[in-house]
Amino acid sequence: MRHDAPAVPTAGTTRVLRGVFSTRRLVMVVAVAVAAVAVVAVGQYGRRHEQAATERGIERVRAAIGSLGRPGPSDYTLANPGRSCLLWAVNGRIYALQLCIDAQGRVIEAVDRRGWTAKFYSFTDEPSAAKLRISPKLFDALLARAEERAG
Amino acid sequence: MPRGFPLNRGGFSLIEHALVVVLAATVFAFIMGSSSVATAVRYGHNLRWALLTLLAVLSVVFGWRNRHVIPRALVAALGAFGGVALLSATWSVRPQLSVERAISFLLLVAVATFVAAGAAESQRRLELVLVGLLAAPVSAALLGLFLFVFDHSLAVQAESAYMPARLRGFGENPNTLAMLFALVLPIAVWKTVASGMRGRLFFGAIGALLYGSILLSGSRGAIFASAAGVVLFVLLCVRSVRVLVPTVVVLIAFFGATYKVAGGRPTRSVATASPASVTTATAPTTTTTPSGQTTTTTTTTPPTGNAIGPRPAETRFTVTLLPNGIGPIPFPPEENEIGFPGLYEYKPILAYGSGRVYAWLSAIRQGLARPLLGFGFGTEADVFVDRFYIFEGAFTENSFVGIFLQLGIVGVLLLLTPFVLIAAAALRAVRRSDLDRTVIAIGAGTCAAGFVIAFFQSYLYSVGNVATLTLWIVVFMALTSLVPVARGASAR
Repeated sequence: MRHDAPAVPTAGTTRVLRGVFSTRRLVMVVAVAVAAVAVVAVGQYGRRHEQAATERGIERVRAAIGSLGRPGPSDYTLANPGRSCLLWAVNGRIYALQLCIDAQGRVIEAVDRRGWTAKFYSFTDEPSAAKLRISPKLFDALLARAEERAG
Repeated sequence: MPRGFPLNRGGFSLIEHALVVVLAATVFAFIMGSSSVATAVRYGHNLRWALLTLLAVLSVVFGWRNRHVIPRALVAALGAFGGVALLSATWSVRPQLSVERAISFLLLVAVATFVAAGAAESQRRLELVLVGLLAAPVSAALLGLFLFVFDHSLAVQAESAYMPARLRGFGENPNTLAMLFALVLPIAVWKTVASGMRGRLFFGAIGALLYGSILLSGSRGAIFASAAGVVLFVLLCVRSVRVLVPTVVVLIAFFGATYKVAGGRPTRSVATASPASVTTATAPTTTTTPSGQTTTTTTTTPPTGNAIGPRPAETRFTVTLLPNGIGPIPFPPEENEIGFPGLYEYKPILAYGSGRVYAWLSAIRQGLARPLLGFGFGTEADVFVDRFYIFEGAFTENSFVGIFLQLGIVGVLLLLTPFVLIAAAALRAVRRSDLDRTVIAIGAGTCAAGFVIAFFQSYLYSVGNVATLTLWIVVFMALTSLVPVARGASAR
């Protein structure tokens, strides 16, 4: 003959529930959750910090170039997928400064080769983070001048 | 009493047969996915994830009954690594990719955990899994020889200014399969010394096939890894000092001699490619290498002159690890950038740098922009940009540098933990005279080989790599073999 299940927990059930919700387990779950939140916060802070530093670097290169059109870019490179680059000379060093834009005109990379260690500032891995823009129309005009100059 | 599913009491059970066949097939599918044969790549790409999923199901059935021996510390370390990898989607430059890669890594950890737990049930299961891990690499080595005979151009990477001709066999490049062969070499050595006469001949021939393939590939990383793996295996297995010392001396001499023959590169070569459209002026200069040798090289100067005055050759071109040019490390006296066509002079890696070391230092410099948690798991190929004439690769070709880019210093520490656990287990095993050290010796040997390879390839966390599954299964097996001992000791 079958009996209905008892309404109150039996000793066995209580033991199981205690195992599942034991203080030690709860503490571990909370600790893991807190650690996960901390990891996410630190990771996102790292991203913001790096993006800001990259943006500052790009702006420094842009400022060092001064006027984009006078005297204009010294050379160009279209070899890199997803970006077109113009180069400006400084003190006779024709590849000293470089700006690269994507199809939307976002400046996604800048290079400063004025010293002995080149400095790269790049958003090629996440172009959406780039804030500085150059009109693709202006870029094309500058590119045409650079092509003329390079012969 | 035979264990497992008792469908075949006389030999191995059905689940044991199925597991070992699917395990070997999965490793082989990963090999196919990185093959020199285009058709194999196509099939391998389609097969490998399906087989890995099937293997995951089978491994749970295989190991579930013995799950109490799962090494908790290792699972915790790799679980934490996988967890951080998954969370990295929230700051990743490729969030979806990070999630996909993290899930596949956690699946691999689950497979390794349960395969090791199941294998720990009995000696014959353990041997079955280890021999199963040997099957796919041996098949690939034989296929490589077959290709060498019948399609030489496919099997051999042609000689270049930088490199002699190298055997790639069935692998994508000469390093691809060589590192897998190095990983399983301790298993072949173990079977050679532990078998009867016919077994010795058979597994000895397998060992020779694997190491011969490594030598023909000219992969220096794989040669170092083979030496590390086999020497550590012998150190842990042989108990008599009178046998141990001469054996180790002979092994070191053997690996040293073979490295000298097979690991060499042209002593000096000059790159001919120049991406700059302009003509550059070249002039011979004399430089002094760190070892004191004086060599004459041709250096290139920019065509329009340079505003920066001449500096000593050894400090002209630098890579810096710290921001603002602090701590510059002098590197090859050849420029690597636009306007300075690379005239890279090869340097032996142990005598100060190669193109790969230059790439590592540059990648570390890049990683320092996000030092704690990196750019997101699985994004190494997106974040690392190969801007160097002296290096060719989409990855940093160093697992620890690669994970530093992806998950920062947190990722590096978590990835190092399994190696620390294996080292501690090996030391514990050495102190206990009553233990059978075979499994820990194989595990430590494979782990040592894997650790060395990690300095030459980005693979420890990349599930699609040919060697990753094999390494983690053996690491888990080694630590699982000591769990009953450790828990028994703590219970006492």
